[in-house]
Amino acid sequence: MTSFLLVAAVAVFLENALFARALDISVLLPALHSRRTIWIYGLAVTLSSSAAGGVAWGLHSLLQGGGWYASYGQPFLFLTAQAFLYAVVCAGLRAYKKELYRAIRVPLTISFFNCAALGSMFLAVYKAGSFWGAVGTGAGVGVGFLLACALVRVEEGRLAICNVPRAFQGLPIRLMYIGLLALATYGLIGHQLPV
Amino acid sequence: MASERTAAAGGLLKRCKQALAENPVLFGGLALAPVVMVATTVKNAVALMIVMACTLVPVMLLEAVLARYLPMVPDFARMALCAVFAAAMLMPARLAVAPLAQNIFDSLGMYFALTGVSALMFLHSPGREPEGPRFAVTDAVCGTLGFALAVFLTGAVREALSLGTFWGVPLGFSVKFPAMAMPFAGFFTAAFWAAAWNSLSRLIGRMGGGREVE
Amino acid sequence: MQDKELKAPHIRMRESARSAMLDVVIALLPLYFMAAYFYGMRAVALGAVSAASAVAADMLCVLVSGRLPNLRDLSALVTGLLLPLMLPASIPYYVVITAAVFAIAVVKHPFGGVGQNIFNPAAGGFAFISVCWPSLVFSYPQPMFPLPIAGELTARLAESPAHALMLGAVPTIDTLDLVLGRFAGPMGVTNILVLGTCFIYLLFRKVISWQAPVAFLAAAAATAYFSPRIPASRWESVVFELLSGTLVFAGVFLLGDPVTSPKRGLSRFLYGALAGGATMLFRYCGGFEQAAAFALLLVNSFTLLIDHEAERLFRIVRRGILGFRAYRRSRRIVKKV
Repeated sequence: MTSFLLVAAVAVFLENALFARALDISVLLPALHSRRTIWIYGLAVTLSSSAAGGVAWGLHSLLQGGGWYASYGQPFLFLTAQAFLYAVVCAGLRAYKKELYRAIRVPLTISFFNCAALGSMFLAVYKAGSFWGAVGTGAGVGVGFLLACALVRVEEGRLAICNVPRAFQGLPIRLMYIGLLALATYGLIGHQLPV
Repeated sequence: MASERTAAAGGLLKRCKQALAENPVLFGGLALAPVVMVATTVKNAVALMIVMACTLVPVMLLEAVLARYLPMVPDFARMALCAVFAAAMLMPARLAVAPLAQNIFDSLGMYFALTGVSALMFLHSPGREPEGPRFAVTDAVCGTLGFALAVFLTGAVREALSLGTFWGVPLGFSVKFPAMAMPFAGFFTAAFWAAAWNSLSRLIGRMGGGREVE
Repeated sequence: MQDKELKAPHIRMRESARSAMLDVVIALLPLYFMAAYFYGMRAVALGAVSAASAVAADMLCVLVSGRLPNLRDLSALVTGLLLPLMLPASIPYYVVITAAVFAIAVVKHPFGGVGQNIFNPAAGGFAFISVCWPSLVFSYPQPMFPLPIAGELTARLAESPAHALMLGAVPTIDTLDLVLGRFAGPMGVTNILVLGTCFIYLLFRKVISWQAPVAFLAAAAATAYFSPRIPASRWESVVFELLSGTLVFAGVFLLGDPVTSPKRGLSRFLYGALAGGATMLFRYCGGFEQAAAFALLLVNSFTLLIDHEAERLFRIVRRGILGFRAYRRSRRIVKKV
């Protein structure tokens, strides 16, 4: 439990998946639509990343060692495992909660197949020392994404009334805002994180 | 028949123009993670372009073929199959990228695989309607070109400013800005290129008398 | 009775954005004077180059956005003058030019220009060059050895007391030297007496409010007292944490920026306390000895949230007080009856 909390805290604050690794950036944009979508995407990314972290740890423990695994096998196995998890979750929801499945089909797909979910698998394997550490890394990625969304959403209102130049309206000013927060976070980390 | 072919060609051309004006990275915000994090040199940018080309075109083609010829396959199963196929396409992508540089995979890290995943995001890009295989190939090629442009521009600027080189060839700059290799600089560079793209699209739209891209 | 027709505005304030900026420029002049006293005219030259770069970048950005430059706007001049004071006098000119251009072209103008920026431009510029060239930004010449304005510098460079604290060592500087700024450090932030005078001047001229700087320093001092980096003496830890580095300078000049700081009194207090805590966290856990600029960038993003939540808190407290008073009044009426 301690390793889970410690690893998760580091992943949320010190090595935030958005500001330090830009993992969730493509999920951020659809998530910022409203407060409700932030929660939906945030929870979906947290659950998918946590599950992915655990699965990645299991796969890595079984197969680590071979040269082919690190070069060719790992990305293929991780993404296939993610696809399998997604298929199981969707099949289950479709069978038992059809309305819920129809409502969250697109966020669920985006939350499973994005850089945050797969990235948390790689991070879990190389940073966490145990299964719960791996799940904690994934959970940290998801919670960090939720916090980052909330932080960006807070300023949306202010950006809306600012006299942002027309060329910068929309995606560019959001990237500038996230970039400056990433610069601030860099002061806390103090060094480039390994990719 | 001829008029149908002309109309189809015109539709394809219009679709290409639209896809290129609405750059998936600089306008749509797709596949930003590899652009921001590892597009720090032109070599890395070219590697990412190759990965995207190797994954996006086959995946979109597969999705279109499944949707057209196997409509009984549920959406989620189709998506899962596309994901497995994208994962499989990372293997030939790795073979294609390897000759670029000895330590290319060290500098790309996990973002090599994440670029393949980013291709899956294109399937759900806003405003995209799944249509036949021909349009899927058009969309995929335009998406790859759009990504290639964005990642090349970002990589070139960051390499020039942080290392003072282009593809390892010194440019003779006396001052270098090492911080341009950091992730936050990737956000800034992508933001400025996105702003430039916005202005350019608006200008082209006004000149063509067509729809202004908002 | 004679009617006189007068045109609006009928109430004219003497203060304006221009006068506020002018007051800040005036407050910075004594710091440049002290920097010139310690390090020679190079300090003034750095200020001039930085100010010129910032103003030029500002004008260019305004022209590119299709507007005409406003020559009465002194905000770029203030940004340009603030930056070199946080840097060593031995810093190369291209570094201050980079910081000034980054502050204006990246931190200020994309967000809408003067009065619209979310982040403090000077803090952003300093943060960027700290990451680019940490060895240049965090190495300081000894004071009282004037440096040449141009050409190669042969002065021996040393680290600041903040660096010693970061490594877990105890700085060996006399308290008097610490207060008077007679130690190797950023050229405009070491003389605490002059900084204090500038703070009083800006308060008197109502350019800044007291809540944010006081809360900022109090939070930093409290953190240094309860979690000292000099375990042998808590008070020594407080003194060195406050007087080494850019903490006091940031509290006086950066935190009080009217554009990026909150608007209400309570909000400013919370903002200052948050900034102080964040600065100490960045100092303790981060990679840079001068962490105030990074912490300020992070806290700037919370300004709107702090304003909203402080307003809500204020309303709850006020309702609570009014409700309690109404209840007491009703009890008195009931007793009389």
